[in-house]
Amino acid sequence: MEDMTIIEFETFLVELDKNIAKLKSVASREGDTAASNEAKQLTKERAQLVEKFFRKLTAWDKVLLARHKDRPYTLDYVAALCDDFLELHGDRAFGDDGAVVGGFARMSGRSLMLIGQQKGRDLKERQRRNFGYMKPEGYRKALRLMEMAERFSRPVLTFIDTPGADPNVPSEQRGISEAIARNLREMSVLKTPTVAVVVGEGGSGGALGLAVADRVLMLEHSFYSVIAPEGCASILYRDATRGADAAKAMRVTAQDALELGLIDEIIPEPLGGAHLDIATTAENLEKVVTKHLDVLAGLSVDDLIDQRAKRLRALGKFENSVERWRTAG
Amino acid sequence: MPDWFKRSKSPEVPEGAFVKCTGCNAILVTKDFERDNKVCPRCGHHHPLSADERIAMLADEDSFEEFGNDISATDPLAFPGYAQKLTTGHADESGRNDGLVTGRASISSRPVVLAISDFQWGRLAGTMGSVFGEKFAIATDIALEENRPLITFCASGGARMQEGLVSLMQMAKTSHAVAKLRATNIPYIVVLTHPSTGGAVASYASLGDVIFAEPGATVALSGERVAAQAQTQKVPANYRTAEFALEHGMIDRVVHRRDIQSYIARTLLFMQSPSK
Repeated sequence: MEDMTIIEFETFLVELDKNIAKLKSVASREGDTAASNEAKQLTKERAQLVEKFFRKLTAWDKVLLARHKDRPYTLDYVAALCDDFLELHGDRAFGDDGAVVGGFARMSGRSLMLIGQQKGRDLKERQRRNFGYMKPEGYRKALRLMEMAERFSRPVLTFIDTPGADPNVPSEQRGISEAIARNLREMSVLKTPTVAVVVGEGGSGGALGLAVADRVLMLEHSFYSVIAPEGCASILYRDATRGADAAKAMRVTAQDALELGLIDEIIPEPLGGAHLDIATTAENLEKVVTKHLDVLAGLSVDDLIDQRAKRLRALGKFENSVERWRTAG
Repeated sequence: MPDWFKRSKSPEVPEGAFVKCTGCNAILVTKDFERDNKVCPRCGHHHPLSADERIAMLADEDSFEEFGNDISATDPLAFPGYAQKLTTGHADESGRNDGLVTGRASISSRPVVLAISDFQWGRLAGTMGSVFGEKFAIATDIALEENRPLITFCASGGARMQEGLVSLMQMAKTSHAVAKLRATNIPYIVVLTHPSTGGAVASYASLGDVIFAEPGATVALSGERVAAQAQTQKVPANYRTAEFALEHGMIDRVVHRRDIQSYIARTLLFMQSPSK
């Protein structure tokens, strides 16, 4: 059990559940009290095992949970949280990027611009959404919508869930770097409240391109990383299969990010992960996001911009001395 | 064997008198090579320059006054091997604290702020960590306070993996610094040199009012290996180069190293009032 990843543990639970179900059916069919007791005992032990496993999740388990095939995506949260969502399309220059969705949303009695990275469920949708890898036109669509929100004084809520920006030739041709850079610059001075929530994978610059905000939140089992753990492992250990070690070394979890002072709050997930109970996850998310939006709504635009500027200016870990490294040699 | 025969086999050549061009393998006289700012006269290959060599090329003589060397990295993740790299970097006789070299200078008598990347420092590939971000932000603050144009030369592998998410945030920090410049009429000029990749071009280095690049410099978001793995289609011959970026409208000009100082001076002449 100790060496299992979360995915292996889930497979183990499926087997365990089959056994429990079998015992229960024997118990009810034949009135076998021994089987009934055993089923009860196993059910109790199962709950303890799950709790124990989730108390000691590794950084790599979090990566696997964030990438879980059943992990809720942006549109799942939209379905659970929004009374209305009018999706808008296109960057007005080249195309429409399926890896990001955005539009007018009504959430908790509030109108806001909701923008989120979107992976696909089945193969066809995954291809259409490019597995969540955004292209330049995606960042440009997102910026167009954010600037619209600014004009009409609506807050912006972004959902982050991407392995990274699209690295293919056409994206380089159309300026993927410039598109991300421009978003960072413009989001840093956008004159409306902004909240970003990492709901799954926070894949480096591709994630940050939608995540410069007044508040940055993360789901309990999401991760946020400067480089994919596998990419780091191939540089650090010359072995891309050592992603688990790299994830630990880079401290990619939500808990790490909070400890490093880089995010504002962690949104709890139900035991076992968001995919086991989307409704509860969405409810938790709504509660925390609403709390922060309420605070931000109370600020003047000048105060908002001023506070965001201070946050951004203060990013970094350094000390006002060079002694440590001078004497270390 | 007579002595005179032996001697004739090994002619006296002072050490380091010749260098081999890494572009075309031509053997070049070191003195000429350095006079040409390490550009091969045969094939035009631009060899790497240190920050000090760039400053010497660019700034008016003795005008460079460095700042920002009084802070240092903290190794916030206790990341494997990072402390060793920082110690190596700090042992450098330049007394610098990072690959980004920042200071006041003048170019053709115009006061400017320079932020020049040194790819070699600490063997950290000009990456953007907390000290990089802070020095860039200080450089921007001084540019704003003293109304000096900010000129940056990029040579970077991107965000600094060793500082994890903290270093990703330096992209946001530097881009916000550029946003502050953009709200004024203070010029911001970027020169992309080899290599300009990853988080650097996905932040401050793609945001210049004017962007120049050296010939043949790698300019791309994705690293070579990532790009190779991710390719789903045929790759153009000049893919991920300055020339490719020019062709696709991402930069203003590809500029030979010998001309870069005059291109910057001409840009400043356009952007700044004639009284300066």
